[in-house]
Amino acid sequence: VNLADLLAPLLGAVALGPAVLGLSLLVGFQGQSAWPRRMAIAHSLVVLLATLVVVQFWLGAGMVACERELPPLLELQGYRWVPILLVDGFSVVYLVLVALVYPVVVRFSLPSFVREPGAGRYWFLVALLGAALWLLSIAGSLDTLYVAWELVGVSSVMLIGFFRRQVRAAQNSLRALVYYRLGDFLVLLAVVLIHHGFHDHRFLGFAEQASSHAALPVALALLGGSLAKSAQLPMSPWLHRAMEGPASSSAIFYGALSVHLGPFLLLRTAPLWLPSTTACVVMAGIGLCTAAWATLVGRTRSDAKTALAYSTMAQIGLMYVELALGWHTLVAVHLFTHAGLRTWQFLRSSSLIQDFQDNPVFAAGMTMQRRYGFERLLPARLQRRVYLAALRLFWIDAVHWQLFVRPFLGLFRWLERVEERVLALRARVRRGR
Amino acid sequence: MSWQRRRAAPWALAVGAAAAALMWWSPNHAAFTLGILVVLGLPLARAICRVLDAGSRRAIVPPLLAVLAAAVHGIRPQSAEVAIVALLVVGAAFPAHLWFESLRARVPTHEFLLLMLSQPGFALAVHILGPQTVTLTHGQRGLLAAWFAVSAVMQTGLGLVRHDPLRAVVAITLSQSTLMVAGAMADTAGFAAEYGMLAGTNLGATGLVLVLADLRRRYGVTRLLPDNGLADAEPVLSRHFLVLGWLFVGLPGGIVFFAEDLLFHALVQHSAWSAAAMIGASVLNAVAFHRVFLGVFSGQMRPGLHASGPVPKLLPDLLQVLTVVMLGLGFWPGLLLGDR
Repeated sequence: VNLADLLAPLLGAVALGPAVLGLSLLVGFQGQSAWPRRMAIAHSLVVLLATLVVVQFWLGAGMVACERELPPLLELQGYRWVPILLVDGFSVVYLVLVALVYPVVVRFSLPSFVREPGAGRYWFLVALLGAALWLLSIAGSLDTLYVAWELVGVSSVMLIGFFRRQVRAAQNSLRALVYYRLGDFLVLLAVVLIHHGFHDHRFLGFAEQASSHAALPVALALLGGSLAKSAQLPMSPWLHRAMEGPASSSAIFYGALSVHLGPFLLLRTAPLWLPSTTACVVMAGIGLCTAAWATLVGRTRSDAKTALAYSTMAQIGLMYVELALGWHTLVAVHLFTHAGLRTWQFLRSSSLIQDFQDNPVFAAGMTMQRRYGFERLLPARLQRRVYLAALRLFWIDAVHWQLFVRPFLGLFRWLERVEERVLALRARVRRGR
Repeated sequence: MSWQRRRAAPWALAVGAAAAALMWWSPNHAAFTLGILVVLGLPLARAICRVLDAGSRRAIVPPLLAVLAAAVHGIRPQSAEVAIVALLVVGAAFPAHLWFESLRARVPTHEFLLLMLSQPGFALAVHILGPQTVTLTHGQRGLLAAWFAVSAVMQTGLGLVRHDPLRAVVAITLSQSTLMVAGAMADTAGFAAEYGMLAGTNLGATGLVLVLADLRRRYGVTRLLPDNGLADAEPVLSRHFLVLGWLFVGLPGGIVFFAEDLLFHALVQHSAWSAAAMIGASVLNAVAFHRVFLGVFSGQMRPGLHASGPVPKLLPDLLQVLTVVMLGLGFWPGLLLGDR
């Protein structure tokens, strides 16, 4: 038995958990109240086990890239939709990360989602996310990756709006979806351009396609698409609003796994954009700007989860710079360690304040001390201005609203009014008769 | 009781369904013309009879024109201009969709749903532009594809700003339908995607419209509001609405995902801009749908809102069947996506 033969059955086993949970929710299966929880625990163990098998076989095979092309789901007139799976160094890093973080998050969620209304929904969404991330880690082509990419996005949006009686949760989930879909638009455009302009759609074949005329548009589309998932400028303002979801889902999405998908996508497609100076300069510029912006804004936030969200953004900005400089091994190490740290911080954030307030032993001898950083070097007047600007997110929401959302929605509101007027004209004629 | 909330006449539904079947599986051009005439004419005639107004009389003009155009096309198959006009009007391309919107306000929901699901625009495209009877030049096809792609974006935009959930879903459905007609312009590869797209659009639209029509009837929900909050009161409808909606707008797992992928692939070979517009419409449809879902099902339910009756007996089962078929087709896309 070799690794290539094992990938499809392992993927099937990983996909089984969310499939069963989803179908049972759909048909309204009323089993024991604990069963979705048990199913999620079993699923997290399956993910862990499947990852161990993959890693062991990969190490045993001498750590060479292993690719598996599954039978095409669709094949006609030169168009083939073939799921391709790939295990190499980068996929193993992300796979191990998923396998370590996902069971921890499931374990952490257990006390919170026993009798919570919608617990079944929570377990299904987390299991779907776990399976989608597992598929994403071993995707061998952009087509396959895009399937998992979308599933991650949808489960993320549904978890942000998990507490569905809260109006703000609904608003923020819609806002996150808007940014996600803008990113999806660019990734989907890249998929279509790859089908149109490349002879080889596999990640392993991208090195030979770098000289293709479509390489630069594809590279820029991928870069743009990755920005939304990783909350890099100018698609950043959704991340702190995404904290409306349960703390454990914030840990898995915005601390550890989902938010690092941007650098992962760029690592995967590096042969395509690395030869292009334009793409590298744009990437490094975006990363630097985001790092500076998120650091400044993060220092003005008063709640733990939001401050952590901005720290995450800043670190990922640095990863973009590292990517542009070609330090890809460093990116993999940075990504892995950063994700681990953030998982712990996000999971700890909800109980930290309670510990300070209610547990005299915990807080004994500890003082909350404000840390001063580089902003102290600025003149006092400028410090104030920067602080006020950071407090307002450097007006990024206002810029988005004025430049994009308002004209876009304004056009359609105007069209709707025209439409109503035409239809109302008819109604008036009717009343006249 | 408003006209929309009145029950559909069973005979009108039966005649409409028979006409749709004749339109889709017509043995010859005359049968097709008769079929499309009844599909479009019956709801119009019903609107005119029940709500005798100038608006409904005026609304008869565009589809009648289109049927005449189709008939002329049968006599003179090379009349490309006639085919273009007919496609734009019957396919409800922007701004010719107004007749459709006008009709929506005048016929009972189920009769309107039947008209929408019959997809007369796409049927006309298949009939006069099918791979066997190509009459349009490459440039004309490109123009039509671009027009329909832009129409899809416009409908999506309208779906994003409309406050009536049913109207918003109709806009999303029209957007998906115009995507379908745009894809039909992309020669045989585009046509290959169409039946999957047709099945996905119709299954999804049926589920969404039936749920919204039921909520409108029982709860009087006619606006997207933050305090409708029907998820707890109607968990079954909420679940199915969500799953069908996501699959309907092209989430992986449904047939529409593959159909759209194939459609974009086919269209990008003709026009990169049209393909980009189509992708834009497709991704924004998801936002428009999620907005509708949140506006109907999320939030704290306001005190005055209560059901005037139970859920119709068959509705949950029907929704379950629709969802299962949609998922099943998504796992076996080759069943519908292929050469015709």
